[in-house]
Amino acid sequence: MKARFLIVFLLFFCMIFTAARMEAQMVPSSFEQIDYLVTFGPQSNPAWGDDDHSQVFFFVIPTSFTKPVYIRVFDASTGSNIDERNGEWNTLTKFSIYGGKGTHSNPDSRKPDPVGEYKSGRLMASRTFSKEEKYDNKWYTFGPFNPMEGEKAEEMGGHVFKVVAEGIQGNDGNLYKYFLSTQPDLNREVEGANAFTYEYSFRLPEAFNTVAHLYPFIDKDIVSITQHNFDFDNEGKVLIYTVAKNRHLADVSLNNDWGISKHMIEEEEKNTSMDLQIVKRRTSRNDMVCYVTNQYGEAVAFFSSPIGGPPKYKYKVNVKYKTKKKN
Amino acid sequence: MSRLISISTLLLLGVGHSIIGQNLDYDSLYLLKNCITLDAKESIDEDRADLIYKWQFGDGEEGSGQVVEHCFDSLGSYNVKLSIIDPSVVSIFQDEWNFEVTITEDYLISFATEQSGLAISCESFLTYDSKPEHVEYFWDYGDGEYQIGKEAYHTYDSAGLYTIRLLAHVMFGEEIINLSTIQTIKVN
Repeated sequence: MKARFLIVFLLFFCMIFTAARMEAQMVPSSFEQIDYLVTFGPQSNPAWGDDDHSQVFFFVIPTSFTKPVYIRVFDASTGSNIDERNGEWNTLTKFSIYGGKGTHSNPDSRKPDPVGEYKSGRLMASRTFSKEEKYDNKWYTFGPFNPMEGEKAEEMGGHVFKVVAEGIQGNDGNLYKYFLSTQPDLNREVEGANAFTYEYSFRLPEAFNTVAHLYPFIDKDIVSITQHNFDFDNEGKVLIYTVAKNRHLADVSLNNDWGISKHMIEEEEKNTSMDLQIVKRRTSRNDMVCYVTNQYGEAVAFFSSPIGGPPKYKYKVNVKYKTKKKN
Repeated sequence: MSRLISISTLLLLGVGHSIIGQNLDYDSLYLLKNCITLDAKESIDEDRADLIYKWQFGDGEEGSGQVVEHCFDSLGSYNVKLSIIDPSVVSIFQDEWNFEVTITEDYLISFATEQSGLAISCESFLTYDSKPEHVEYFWDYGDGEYQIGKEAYHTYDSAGLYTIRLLAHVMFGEEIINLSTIQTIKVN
């Protein structure tokens, strides 16, 4: 298991730093066309779009980068116009930063559900946010962190930090963003960095016919994937787009339900990113959850900056020339 | 070597009144390999056989379908684009596939004349990229006289305006391509 894990990351992290751009530092990134991450309080109804009131994100910083880094959270508190209110604002959201040994290498940290030792690593910073106007629509900064304090991951060519967001009280939805920055009071990208998660809880764009994109990386050992989407409310379609799949239809979830479908992986799709497209056919505020597992049931990472870039389906068009008989 | 022949001889030779004597005419330019067939059937996934394939041929024309054929009217390069309509989400995805089509080959017929009094000499020119297997040239001097040959000579009986028409039968593969061109000359 460990050897396989190392090989997988060795393969794609040689590409990761060339793919990452400033877009990758913002989570969700511009590639993903998602407005906000979302974490609800534990007393919320899962039918509002969060199955486990928790979200784990990882930031990987290339070894070559040695200056301090900051993890910034936009609108970390509840109570703003972008958050999802349910009655009185009563929700507490805790953001915790982890580094050091076990941060990502602990298998529990790579599971879609917050179980076991998913908060592995050394707690480096933590803060709980309630309804606090001073953080509404503003950035809160954790850090500085020495990149060396992240878990050293040679197979990734860098150091990994983990951010755990958990709803610890209440029933509102907290909508927020992350930015991995070189500055405490500005968003300045860390060159070559990227962010990834094994379960994505997010708010879809509100407008009709918008498309959200998630980019799981398909490693060479994956022969099939199973996509899981929660609480899409049957508002549109979930499409799988890769170099070899031209918008295959995936199962769509209803309200407070999972949509699950298995899809075989072609040889040419290995070592490429998949584009899981969520096409919305209604204008609404909709929060949902997605994760993807491989044939062993292991979660597959979604990258904010798709490894190798967004996929492009390879059309096979046979072109033949001929002379038209005119007369 | 050109020969002066009568209309009856031409008919006997099988040139046919429908070619030489007609008013309807052929173009002086004939494009080769000017049509393309685009076959995207290998791209069709069973899962998404409902996707609609829309093609833009780069010359202002469009087509749709998994297999399309289109012919270009002029030499040049054309950027062919494929867009996909996904009925499941009622959306069109532009520029899914691009291909540059270049039409470079043609047959072009023309001729030059030299006059001396009532006498005229004509020389035909055929330009091509793919050498034809055989070409036949037919001259109509506009005074009721006809001649066969790559070069031709004729003397008019009287001064006047005459329209000379050159017809070429170009044998290319199993095809016979007809080209024609005309010039009006003033004979003094």
